[in-house]
Amino acid sequence: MKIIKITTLIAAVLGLCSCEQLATIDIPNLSSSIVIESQITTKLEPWKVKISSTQSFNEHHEAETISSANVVIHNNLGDSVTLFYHESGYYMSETNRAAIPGSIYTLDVTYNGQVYSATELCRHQIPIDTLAYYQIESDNPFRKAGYYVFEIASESENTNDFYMWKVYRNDTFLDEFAYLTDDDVIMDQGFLNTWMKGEDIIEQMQMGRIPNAFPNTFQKGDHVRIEQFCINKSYYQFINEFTAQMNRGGTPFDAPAANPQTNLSGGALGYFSVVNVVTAETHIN
Amino acid sequence: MKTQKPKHFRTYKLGRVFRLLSTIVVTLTVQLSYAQSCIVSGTVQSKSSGEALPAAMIKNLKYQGCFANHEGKYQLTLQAGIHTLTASYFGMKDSSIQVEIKGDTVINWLLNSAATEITGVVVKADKQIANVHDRPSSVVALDIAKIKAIPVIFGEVDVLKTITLMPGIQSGGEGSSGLHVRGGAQDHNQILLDGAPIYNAAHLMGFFSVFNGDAVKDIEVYKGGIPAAYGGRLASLINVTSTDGSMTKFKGSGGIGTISSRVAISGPIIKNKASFMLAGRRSYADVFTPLAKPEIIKKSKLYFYDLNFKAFYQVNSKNKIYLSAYNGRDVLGLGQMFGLDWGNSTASLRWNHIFNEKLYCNTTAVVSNFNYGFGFEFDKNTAMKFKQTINDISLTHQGMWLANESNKLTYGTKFILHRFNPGTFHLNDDEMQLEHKTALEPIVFVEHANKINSRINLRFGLRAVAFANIGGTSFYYSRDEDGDPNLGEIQKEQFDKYSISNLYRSVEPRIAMSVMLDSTLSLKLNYNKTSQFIQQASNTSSPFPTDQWFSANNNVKPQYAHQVALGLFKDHKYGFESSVEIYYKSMMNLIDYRDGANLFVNEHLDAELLHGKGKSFGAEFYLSKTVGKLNGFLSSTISRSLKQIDGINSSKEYSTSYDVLHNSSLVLNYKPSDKWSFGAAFVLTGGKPITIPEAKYQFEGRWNNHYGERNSYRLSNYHRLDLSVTYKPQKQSKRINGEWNLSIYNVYNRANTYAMYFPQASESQAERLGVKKGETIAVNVVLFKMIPSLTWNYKF
Repeated sequence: MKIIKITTLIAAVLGLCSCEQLATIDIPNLSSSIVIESQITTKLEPWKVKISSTQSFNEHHEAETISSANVVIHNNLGDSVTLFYHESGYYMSETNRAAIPGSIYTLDVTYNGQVYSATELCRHQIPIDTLAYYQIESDNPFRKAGYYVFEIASESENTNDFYMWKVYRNDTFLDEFAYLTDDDVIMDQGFLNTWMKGEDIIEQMQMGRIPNAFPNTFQKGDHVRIEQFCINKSYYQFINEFTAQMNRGGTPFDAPAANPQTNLSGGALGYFSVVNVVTAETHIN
Repeated sequence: MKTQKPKHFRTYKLGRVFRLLSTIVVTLTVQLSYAQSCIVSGTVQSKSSGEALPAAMIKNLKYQGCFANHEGKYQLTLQAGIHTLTASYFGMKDSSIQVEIKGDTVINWLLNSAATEITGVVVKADKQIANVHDRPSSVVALDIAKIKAIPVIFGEVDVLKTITLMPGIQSGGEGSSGLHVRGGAQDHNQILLDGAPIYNAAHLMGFFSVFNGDAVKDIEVYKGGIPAAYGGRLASLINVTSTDGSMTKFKGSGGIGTISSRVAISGPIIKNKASFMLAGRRSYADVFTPLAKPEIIKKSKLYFYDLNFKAFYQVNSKNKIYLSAYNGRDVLGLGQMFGLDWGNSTASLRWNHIFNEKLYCNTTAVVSNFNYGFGFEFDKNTAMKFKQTINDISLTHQGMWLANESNKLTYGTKFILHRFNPGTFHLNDDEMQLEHKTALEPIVFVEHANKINSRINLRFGLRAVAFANIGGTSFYYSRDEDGDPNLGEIQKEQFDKYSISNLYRSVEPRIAMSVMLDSTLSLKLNYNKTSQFIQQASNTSSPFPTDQWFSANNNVKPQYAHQVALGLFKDHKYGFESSVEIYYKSMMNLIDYRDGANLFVNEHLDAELLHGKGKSFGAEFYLSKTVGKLNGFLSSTISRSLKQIDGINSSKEYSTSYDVLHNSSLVLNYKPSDKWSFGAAFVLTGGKPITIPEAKYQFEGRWNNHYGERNSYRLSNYHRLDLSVTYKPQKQSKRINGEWNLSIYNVYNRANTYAMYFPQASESQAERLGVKKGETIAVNVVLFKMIPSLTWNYKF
């Protein structure tokens, strides 16, 4: 959201007169909790669930994984898939699977006699009409010089939808901005291009308006692939809370420290998401 | 799934309140008419400026006396006979007169300035009787001369920061103008400038308050025992009075400081009949930005300004008119690309009418506006702007009947119209407007101050408030099992433009009593109920100008608080005075946002709120020396502030972020000569509560913290020492008297923790802090270490 840019700018001003020091705090070692992360999509691929445990704040090694859990995903159509331990904490289905839009999926993880469950709806998706780009020739406070990719899509009116995107450059996932998410609260149409109306994007560009693009910068010759996920509101909130906590920087504008609200029961951390995904590609010429 | 059905509020029987008030008025009238006394009354004014001198003391040789009110009016009862009366005021020469009192007598005083200007804290020994006799409990009152003697950051005199040195009042944080009074939130303080509400009292994100030291006469903070004439906030009333204009000659003052410069002029419009005061202040960091090399800094804006105006006109001996206006604004920007600005504008017009020596009234009209906006413009065709405002219009009629020295009756009525614009959003040529909200707040109040005998004073009153939304739409939300609003199932109820909905009411008793245990010791007790119908909630760690004010409605209930305080006040030898007060406050219907709530252009903000209750309690200690070349005070508070909100911290009670266990200040002023004066302020505050991680976990390759209970850990103690020295050259120009002030904030360069956070060390952090990149660390953010500042202050 744009409000983040304001607070970032003001935080930068504050930063001019502040300094940081390493602090020592006494954090008690508590028993670890289970962490479950899983995302199943409408793409035909093996379903995966990763299970690990929390570690002490002062420990500095890779997350400890759990290999002895029973993992099952089933839906409201009566289908049930068991996932088997593979490696590095990952459990996988034996065959490729695809989530069906409109269906409700439930993940059950049983570990040490405790059952951890989560349920999510696979939502319907909208197609990406166009993937295009424009060039910013010189740096400005908001963007570096380079090529910027944007999409045009017709978002349904009077719905409350939530989206997430993954951006790939030459088949490499770009994660410098962590999660890219948006909703349609402000503008119900042209949800991503909040700078302009949903229709006549090209015409408006000819008038000098710049569409709101993905934040990644590209160069001539790059191949760009965009994956658009239609997600549930609870996952959208989880991602935003997770990101807000990750980005806490000791400024007055930080979100209060809090744990993101998970959809998993039993005290597990993490999230089980079911997403509908569409893909579009373009080449920067 | 629970569905919240529309509620229809029952009609409130206002008649019951009026009957109760009428009974009180009639009872008091009967009692008052039986009292007999010899009344001495009048006004106390500065001879040179004609300015009223509030809190001036009038007494006889037996220490029977009183203090003048805000308008310089006083009244005391004396036995018939010959009395030697003395009027005294800080910075003025005492004036005495011997007079035979045979009946009701009017004596008006014109006091001369002291031979030498006083910049330190020098209070007359006689004023000491205020501590045990007349000063209400739970009240802090400071005049600007006392405030100016205390060293402050960047050398900017700041009334709001200075009052945080007093017991029970806690700073919002390093460099913040925010206040927490007796465990209340920052929006629980009613800040009034000449009777007009100031919705955001901060400049530069809170580093400075909006009150220009040259335009302020005094400040009064009611932490409890709030008079029935005031209300609308749970925790406190902060009453700031601007300087009156000089009635006799033109004069001015000002200063050139590190951050800003200021000037104030005042003088007669019609000598001894009408006067004005005009003051301005502006910061000037942006004056130097065009000199910077980076284009982005060259085009940046970063400034604030204040304008204060006050005028007075004495129509005749029975009618006076006061006009006060304020306009202030903060502007931050990067050329045309980005802008953020916010500011307050207020105006108040007061007509004071004296029916006779015993009965007078004030009728006041007030308008107040607070707005903020921000915008982006990538180029001339691609722009976004957002604006939000709150407007208040109010009309107050307040009467005062001084029946005799033992009985005073205050009564009145007030109507406030609140108008909220939750958001106007411009996207190029398109505009999106969230629905305006309007609310009406009618109030009646009556209060009787009764001197039962020479030992017992009692003040008791009632304030009856109603609050209702006018027109607009009420939304009703269904919620899922987790309490999340189901935005797909919203029910609406549309009201006609002028129809009333969501009617709330509150009857607020106000009681204050003092009992003289002996001539130097008094016991004081007060109780008040307060209600708050408009509030501000923030989902950031600290308040921000963009935090939205909104009114009670069908989803948001008004907040209520009950507070009781008990204190002992003692005068000692050699000008020492002391007090101990304990208090307990319970608060209902407190609000907070759900974690991750969306507050931006959200029509359904109510759905993001969580509700709960809170309590605070504590003990406040105060010791001061008011006489001599060396004077000052020591204040200390031990307190708790706790909250319980359904949906936060597993709905268990937790410390508020301002729940500090102790808060102490030592302020000393030493004035060895007219040329030099020295000031010192030491502050020691317990660590603020924060939430710390109990563990960490990895999700999709990214580490994040798993936090424990909210605010369960405390930062280390905060302390610092500030020093100041003021030099006044003896050789002064005929027209301008100047003085130099050097202040050093945080003299011993203490690295106080402003905030703490727990990141994975970035590359620069790893290099700077000597840790491995990616390691989870705890980081202290330190905002200000030692800051010297030099200011030249002048008068002409």
